[in-house]
Amino acid sequence: MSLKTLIQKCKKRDVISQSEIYQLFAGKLFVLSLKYSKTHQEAEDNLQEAFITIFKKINQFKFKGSFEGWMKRIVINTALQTYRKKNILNLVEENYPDEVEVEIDESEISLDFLLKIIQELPDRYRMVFNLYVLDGYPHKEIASLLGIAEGTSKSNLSRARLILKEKVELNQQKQSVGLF
Amino acid sequence: MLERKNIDRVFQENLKDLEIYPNKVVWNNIEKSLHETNYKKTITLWQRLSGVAMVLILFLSGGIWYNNSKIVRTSINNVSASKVDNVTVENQVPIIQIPKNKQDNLVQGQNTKSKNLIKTQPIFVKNPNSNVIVTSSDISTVYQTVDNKYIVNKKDFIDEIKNKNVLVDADIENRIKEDNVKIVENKKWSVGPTVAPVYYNTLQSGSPISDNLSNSSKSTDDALSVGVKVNYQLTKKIQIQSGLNKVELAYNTKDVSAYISSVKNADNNINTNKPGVIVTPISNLQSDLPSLNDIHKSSVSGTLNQSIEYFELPIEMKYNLYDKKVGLNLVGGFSTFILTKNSVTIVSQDNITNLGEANNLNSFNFSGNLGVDLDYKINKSWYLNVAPMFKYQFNTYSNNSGNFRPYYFGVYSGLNYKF
Repeated sequence: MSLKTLIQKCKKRDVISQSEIYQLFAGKLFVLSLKYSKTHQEAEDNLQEAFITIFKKINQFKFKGSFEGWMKRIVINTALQTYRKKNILNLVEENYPDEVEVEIDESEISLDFLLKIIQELPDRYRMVFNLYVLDGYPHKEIASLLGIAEGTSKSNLSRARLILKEKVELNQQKQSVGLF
Repeated sequence: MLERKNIDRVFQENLKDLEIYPNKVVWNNIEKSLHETNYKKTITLWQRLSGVAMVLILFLSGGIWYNNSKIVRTSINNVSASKVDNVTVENQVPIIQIPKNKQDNLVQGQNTKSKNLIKTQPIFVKNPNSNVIVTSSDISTVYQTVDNKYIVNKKDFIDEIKNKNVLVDADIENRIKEDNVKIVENKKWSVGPTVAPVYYNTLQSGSPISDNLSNSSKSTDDALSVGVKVNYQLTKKIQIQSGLNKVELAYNTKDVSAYISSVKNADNNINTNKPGVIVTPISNLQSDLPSLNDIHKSSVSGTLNQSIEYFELPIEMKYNLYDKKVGLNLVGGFSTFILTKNSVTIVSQDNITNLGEANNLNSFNFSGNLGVDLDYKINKSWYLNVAPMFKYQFNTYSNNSGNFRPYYFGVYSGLNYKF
């Protein structure tokens, strides 16, 4: 059955087609949700909310553009809503130079470690890093989504990169110590 | 020496094709939430549709019945009228139950005792052979099989499941079967032509034509009922079927003499709209002759034939007892018969004499139907069926017509298309 047929059946609220769509995309969308969430539990809650929205609003999908892209936006929006609810108070601003280039040694880094350190980032940094680096949103849009200045988005990104670099390097050191 | 790489690219490349499958509870909750919404919308729609259908059916059957019973009450004694009344009420019960069964359909797969209308059996499981993820209710078993990590590539995830076989337990296999059944059940409608040789007669002696012929020997012609049948799957076990059939019945009374007076408004003893007709069994000819001598008459002898043609509209419920390649169902319901042809003739050696139309046949009458239905599934879309059905007719005549209690038995067979 083609994806288009599945979507059309979902529009008619066919439960089996809904489960097919879920099974097709849950894996990818859960990774997306994990990246935006602080914990595994929060990611599951987000994914759940997002899929309910997807199926309820599937009639709004008019086959213009990718279905996966449309679903991803819903997952991200759901995560942003959770973020907004949690983050009424803003972080203390720290100024870092815009667009810091951060490089790390390319070694074997486990996927769970990469995901873990993203989740450990402070909420705002995590949002900005994900939106900009992993999902291709421009700073202007990020600023608007998070209710911050564009400059803040840029400095948050730089700070996030440095935190991540520190953690990767610390991990690499631990591993090399373990080898000897 | 390790190469330096931009941190953005490290994250982008590593997380690009990663897929992680969440705990099954997530889908359960999604399905629960969606089902609640779907149910509310569907039930509203069904309530409206079934309400309209109920009103139409009750209006039609009630209206028809009311009209007929008015004739009965004015023309016959109260005792037989109330008998007919009771039978009709009993046979209307399946109509009233329609909406209830539709509700059952919406909550199939759950504990029927529960008033909670949410499915307890989530559909998340698919056949592992079809290269689709199967998850268990406890995803931690999967984590453990992959070095305590919950991050796995999709391929590894599937391989782990296949190798360890941790998740394909009896419960999951059962759900896979249910899943397949549900897919088949998606085709809820079926339609097809139906044909049935019909054997019919009366449960008691008597003649609807004339009291004079109550004890005469009677026979029936071979008949065929042809039509179309529509079937709708209400629940896994229950189907409702309807359709339209045409059937022509002919009752014969042997050795009858008919005297037809040329005088208008002359006496008659026959229940037809032709005046001045006296029918009598040939054996009684001598005793009846004196009273007949004083009128101008022509006479004819032969077999008295009453031909009746009906359009039949059945509404039946089918309950499944066994469902494999060959299925067995119990069928019960009732039919509304609409009279479309009605004639009484004397068939003698040389010619056919028309004695008019019977004036005691109701334009609408009913039957209670009971039978079994055997089906043979050719493939997912086509099936053959054979259904021996017994139909007891009531309210056929507007008076008691010498205890003439017609019934008929037909073996209905057809080829049906599911969609």
